[in-house]
Amino acid sequence: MTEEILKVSDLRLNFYTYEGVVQALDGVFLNLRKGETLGIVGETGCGKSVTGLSILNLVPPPGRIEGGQVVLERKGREVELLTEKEVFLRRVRGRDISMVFQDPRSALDPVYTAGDQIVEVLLHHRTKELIQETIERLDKQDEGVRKETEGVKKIESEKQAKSGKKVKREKPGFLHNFYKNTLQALLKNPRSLRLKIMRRIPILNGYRRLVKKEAKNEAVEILRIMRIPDPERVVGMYPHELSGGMAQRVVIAMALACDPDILIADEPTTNLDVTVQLQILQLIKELKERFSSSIIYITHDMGVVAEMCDRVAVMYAGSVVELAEVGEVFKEPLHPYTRALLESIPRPGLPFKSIEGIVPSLINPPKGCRFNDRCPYAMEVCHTVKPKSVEVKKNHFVECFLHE
Amino acid sequence: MGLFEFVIRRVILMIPTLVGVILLIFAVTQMFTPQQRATLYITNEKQMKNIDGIIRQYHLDESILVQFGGWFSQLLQGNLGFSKSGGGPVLEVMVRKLPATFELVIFSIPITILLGVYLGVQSAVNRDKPVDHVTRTVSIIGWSLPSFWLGIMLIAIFFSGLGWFPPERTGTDVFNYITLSGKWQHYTGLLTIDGLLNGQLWISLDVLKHMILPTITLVTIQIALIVRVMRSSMLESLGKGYVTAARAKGLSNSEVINRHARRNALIPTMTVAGLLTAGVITGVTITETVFNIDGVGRWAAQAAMAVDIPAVLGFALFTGIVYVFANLIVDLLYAYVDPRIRLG
Amino acid sequence: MSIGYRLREFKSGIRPWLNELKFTLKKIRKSPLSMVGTAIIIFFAVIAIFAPILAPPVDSRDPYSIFLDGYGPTPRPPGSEILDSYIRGTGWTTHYFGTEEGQIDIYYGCIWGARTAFSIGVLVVVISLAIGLITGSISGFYGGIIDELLMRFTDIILAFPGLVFAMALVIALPPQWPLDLGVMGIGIAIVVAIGVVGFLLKLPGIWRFLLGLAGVAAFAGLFVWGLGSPPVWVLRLNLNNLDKVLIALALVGWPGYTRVIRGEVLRVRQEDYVEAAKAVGCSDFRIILRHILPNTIYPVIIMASLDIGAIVLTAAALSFLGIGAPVGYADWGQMISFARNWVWAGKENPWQFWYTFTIPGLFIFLFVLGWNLLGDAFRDILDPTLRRR
Repeated sequence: MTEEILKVSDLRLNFYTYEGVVQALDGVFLNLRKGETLGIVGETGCGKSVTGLSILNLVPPPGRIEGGQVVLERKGREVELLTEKEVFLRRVRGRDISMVFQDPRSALDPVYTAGDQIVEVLLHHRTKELIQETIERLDKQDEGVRKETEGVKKIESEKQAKSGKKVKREKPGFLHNFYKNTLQALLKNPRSLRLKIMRRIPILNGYRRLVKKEAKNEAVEILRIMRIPDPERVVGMYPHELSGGMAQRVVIAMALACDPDILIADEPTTNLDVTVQLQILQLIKELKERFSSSIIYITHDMGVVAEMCDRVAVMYAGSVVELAEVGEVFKEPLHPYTRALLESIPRPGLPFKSIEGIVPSLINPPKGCRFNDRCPYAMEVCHTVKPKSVEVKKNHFVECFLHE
Repeated sequence: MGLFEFVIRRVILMIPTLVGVILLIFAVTQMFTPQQRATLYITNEKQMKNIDGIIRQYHLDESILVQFGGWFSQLLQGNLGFSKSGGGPVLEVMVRKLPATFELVIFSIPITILLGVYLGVQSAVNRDKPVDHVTRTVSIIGWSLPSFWLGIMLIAIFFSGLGWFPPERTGTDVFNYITLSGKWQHYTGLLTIDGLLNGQLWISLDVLKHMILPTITLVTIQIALIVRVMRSSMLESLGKGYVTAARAKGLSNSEVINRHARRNALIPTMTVAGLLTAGVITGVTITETVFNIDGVGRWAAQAAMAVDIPAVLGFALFTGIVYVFANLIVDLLYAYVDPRIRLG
Repeated sequence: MSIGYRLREFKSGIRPWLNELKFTLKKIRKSPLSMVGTAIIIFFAVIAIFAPILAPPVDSRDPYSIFLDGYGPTPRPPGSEILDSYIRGTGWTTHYFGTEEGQIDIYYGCIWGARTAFSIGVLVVVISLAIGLITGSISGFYGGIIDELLMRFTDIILAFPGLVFAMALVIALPPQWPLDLGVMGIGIAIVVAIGVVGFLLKLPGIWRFLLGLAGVAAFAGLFVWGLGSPPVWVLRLNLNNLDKVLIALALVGWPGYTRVIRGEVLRVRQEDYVEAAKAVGCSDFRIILRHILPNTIYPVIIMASLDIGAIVLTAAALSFLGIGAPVGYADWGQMISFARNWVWAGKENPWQFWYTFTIPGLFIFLFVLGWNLLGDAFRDILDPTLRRR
């Protein structure tokens, strides 16, 4: 059995608003296995987006996590994310667990280029690697210059005469060695006072520019992997100049830049055209292979679930009512809500079926199972006690008294 | 369209407004009698005796179009009339008094903006916490205070009471040195800089000491404007998607606030710059009067009291032009900072 | 359409608006700042309304002129006896707040000054608001060249701060201004014509009729003007400096409102509910009145309440500089100008004359603060994104 990489137990979340306390998550149980794509599906307002945010503890006030556990397997150890301090979580976000958002254009900062924003996450998490790569590049330059001075000058001048303009030779600048030494010192002792002061001085801090350039090259490569045509140009473009599909690719690039183990994708294709949707879905599939990540895919579209996911968690009004492999759920849905959801998918030729009633208010949620007023099989116990999650079949969990 | 084309476009758009400003001033001149208008065309005191000659020379009793021609051509030559309260041609008096005002403005505006932005950000980030309440209270009190009253109170407390910071531009010894010793060289007219250039550091320090109270007055009154706008645009910015996305990237709180939220929040704040300019012009007029600083503001106020028409109109024209250019600069800055505007 | 029908329609249309109003009032009551602001304003309103009772005028023909108790230069402290026998004869006994330089009674000045403050603030704002509403909604709704021209024009006027323009007008306007109604008639006719031309391009019928009316009005105006104004058409306005200040501030204040209203109209115009109303066949006038105006009015309310404070400050500054109220007029700013020399009274007892500037200053400050608090509270309450927190 493949190991679990993330486990969410009894997650509870409340929003403290003017109108009352919104009990958004009422005990969410999930687990994510290594290498799989887990779908979280449900209607608007069922809490799926908020679950994704809670994993990274990114729920903004007036929301507050009131209970539960989120256990991540990191570097061989188990970490309970909800109890960790901000400082630690910052190392997890973007690196171990990344997130892709619904509206790509609002997820990108309009005043920075696409490249800048990818570089930002690269510099934040992969500083050491980038510094090393920069040093290597500078070393290579030194090599190159040495080789050139050994009689290549003649060819250079010939080239110049032919093309009519100066061939740009990468000559080591005056500060070249200085920067190289600074970078090596930075690697050894990143927090030295001398370096902290040098950071602020205009010319002396040019080494930062070199590292940034390295990061930018890396960003271009990542964009290329995202199948963005002409990535050198896109890197310098601003979000408002990008189409929806391109912007979403940039957001995905930002998320995958540091090779995370888990990717949380919150309805990444909802705001896109249908044709672009397909492209992005294919891209995500490809990337999962290449980066060997596990994905939590949040959506309201059962079709996407069928296409993309290995297992799926069906959410309703703040809890996971059914969690099983996709094939199982489609073939034999156990929870009445899942059943109703599948039946309500419009099929040509068949009459249009919808679910009776409306989603309950989460400020005053109904007692017991929150689906009780719409469930055709509701029993008396359903109105008083909330059903617990039960493993009805192998790896098939349901929260329903029908199956307890 | 590139940045260059944008700049050209914007500058061209400025022209009709400038024209309008000039026309409006001219319209105001038409509210005076021809005798009064004559003062706008003379350059020295002696010509005052020949008012009828002036009237005939510039056709001041004829049609508006003819008058405009005369007035405008005089304007282009730099002749804005003779100021009796300034004791010289208007343009000359203005140029003479401008450095004092400019020096005051050069200190107040950046402090207002920097401090205002900082407080606005702090206020938004700590919404409804004590920092927020205190900042908003203090800035609203500052905005409600009459500037002349604040100036008087500051003089009373810090000069008369404590003897720390004196009003006026300089002390008597500095004044004597500059005017009498013969060793003083005027470079920029800004005494703080000239003091350094002349090698007389004590003069620069003295001027700075004198400027503290008027600067505090100006900043206190204007800062509420910046704080209020910055706070609300910051609150809006903090609720945007890219802030959550930045946090999801693992950035620290200060990085998210300073690099992303604040930079975006600054953009709408810039639109208030026009109001800030108007406020500073008004503030300078009052502050210079209260602190007895010999700048254009005080001159304008005295001119209005003395019914010195060329001076007041000259000041009004100056104000209009300054405002139009200030807006131009702000619009260009705006385009530079917001790539959505710059790149269309 | 029966009256009953129209009435029912009106009631149903207004109900959601009334509910929102109730919600707004509840929020006002909950916010401490707005309660403080409201309390302050009410306090000053009471003072202003009851001024003749709180401070009975000595000279009933000119109540705004503060009575002088002698001519001595030194201010006298609060509680001093009134010495002038004539004044004592009218019932006054003590200087409750003391006197300024020149024996100007501070209490009287402050009480009647409240009236001055209210009249200047409210009048200027009302005039600016009226002009701004008309120009802003026309500009926003019809766009095109009318919008362009108006925006250029407001740009020009906005280039002059109120204080500066007031200074210019104070010396420019004669003390007695013959207001030529014939010319005014032309002015109004032109405004109406512009608006009507805009309407004309959209709707036939009633608007063509109005254009005809405007044309007649313009013609009549020209006719009267051409005749040279007979005395009956001319209104001779006596303007003291304060009136000139009022005119100046109103003339310079309206572009602010125009801009805000135009912006709001532009925003609302593309909202779906306007499209829906158009699709259903509502006339332009009805759309403006029932859909656009109620949704655009909130920022204007905020602006107006903040503006009253700003106007009063500007007017006070002008009076302080000596180019506002005439000498002896009940104006807070002017009273402070008399205190300038008495701020520090020597080492022995420097704060001896504190009352000369502290009391009038406090009045100005509190008045302006009240409006600012109210405006800020309105902003917090009426901003739709902050409302439902």
